Amino acid sequence: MSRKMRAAVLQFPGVNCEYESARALETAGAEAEILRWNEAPERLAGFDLFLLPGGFSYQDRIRAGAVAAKEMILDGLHAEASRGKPVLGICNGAQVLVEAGFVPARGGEAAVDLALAPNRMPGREGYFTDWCHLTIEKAGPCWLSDLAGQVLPVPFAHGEGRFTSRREGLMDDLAAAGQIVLRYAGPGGEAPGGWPRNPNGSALDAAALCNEAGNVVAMMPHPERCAWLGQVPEMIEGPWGEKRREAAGNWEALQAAGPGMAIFEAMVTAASKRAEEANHAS
Amino acid sequence: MRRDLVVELKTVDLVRETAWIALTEQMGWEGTLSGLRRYDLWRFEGEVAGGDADAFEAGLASELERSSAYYNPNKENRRFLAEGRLDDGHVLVVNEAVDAPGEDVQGEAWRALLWVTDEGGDRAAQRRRSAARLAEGGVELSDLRSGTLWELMLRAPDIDTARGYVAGLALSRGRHEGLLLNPHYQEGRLLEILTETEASSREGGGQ
Repeated sequence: MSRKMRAAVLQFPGVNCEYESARALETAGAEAEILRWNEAPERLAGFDLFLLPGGFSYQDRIRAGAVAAKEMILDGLHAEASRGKPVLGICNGAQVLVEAGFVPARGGEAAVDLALAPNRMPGREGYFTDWCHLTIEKAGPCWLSDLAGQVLPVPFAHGEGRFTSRREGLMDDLAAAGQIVLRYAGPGGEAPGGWPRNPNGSALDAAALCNEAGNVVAMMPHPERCAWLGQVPEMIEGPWGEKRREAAGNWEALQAAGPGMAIFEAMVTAASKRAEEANHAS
Repeated sequence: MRRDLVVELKTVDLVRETAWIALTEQMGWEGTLSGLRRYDLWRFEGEVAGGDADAFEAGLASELERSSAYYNPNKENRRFLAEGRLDDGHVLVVNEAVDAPGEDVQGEAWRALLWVTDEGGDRAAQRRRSAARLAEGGVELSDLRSGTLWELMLRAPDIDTARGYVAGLALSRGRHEGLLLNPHYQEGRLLEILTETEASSREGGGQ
């Protein structure tokens, strides 16, 4: 019988989504542990997959994600990511991965080639929260690729979520290489046509990017906040809204998987597959 | 004409403390970096009837009393810098030459002022809000920018190395390199780099 995958949810000071992220991973079939940032980096070797949750690490001091990106535990995470283990950064976790250079990591090099810059929105500035629709791209080797073609309603909540780079042509190159794994869209998967469906002005409507190897994903929206159907608002457009309205008042039906659960399940499946391959190789 | 407004917390600055710990304890700048302070820097550009610089500053000072956007007198101190005290400075670019922390920390003492802005720091919306009130006093506000001003005290053998150190600890390039700005959406302007002796005599000359 195959063992349960062990997931580490890295808890930096100031994050606030670690418990629901761990619960989503547990529901997806993993055994999840919340691991504090000041643990020895070598401890990460005992885990199969890693999640950096949302929140405000170090109170967003200096710049969102910038201080956590310098923590020693990231050295351990880099070592495990280099072995192909799946890593998912959600919102502030995505900002940490970008500030640490884990994404896009062209040529395998962990260099800061991107920023998650302040939202660019017509007539307003700062923090913005709402629901968006995401399309999952047929994206190279990324563990999200098996879900390609799906359209998921997912909530977002951030002030700095705009993927951008001053490396000329980089975002186009990342798109061509299949490293833009989630894009903002309309409810039918159509192009968003600007704000508010692209809620932050992100280049090429990117909502998530992966590294070159495809195992590290930095995504701005929050799948853990829609991992169960009961978390989806009834008014949301598309098939998930219909499901939610049908489940209204039915407690058991509301505990069914929501749109975000597919992302956690895909991650746990990828970890399991990698672990099996590693076992065979040894 | 231009006026620079410098705003500093009266209490312990936790952002500064966090930056100091990250730079010196995690990134290897202990010794090379001997001091760090943080301010907000607001840069006002405009004109006043008659071209009287004192009237321009007086108009701005009056606006600071009316608006809560620039500083909070209960927790912050503010001061205007004299005309021409800081120029546009040298803009650090993505591929700027950088130096890693030095091993010889016995070099000369330097003080650098680095202004970090988000995409140029243009505060157009705030400018529009203040411009109408300032116009009543005859001050025309044409440009307003703001960002974080870092004051860095360094040990370096010469000015080129000191510049390289500022770029090295500022430009974020990886998990061990650079902290104070992400060059993919922020700008860092090295407004001033002087020996501490030069900096002290300039302070004495009136900020």
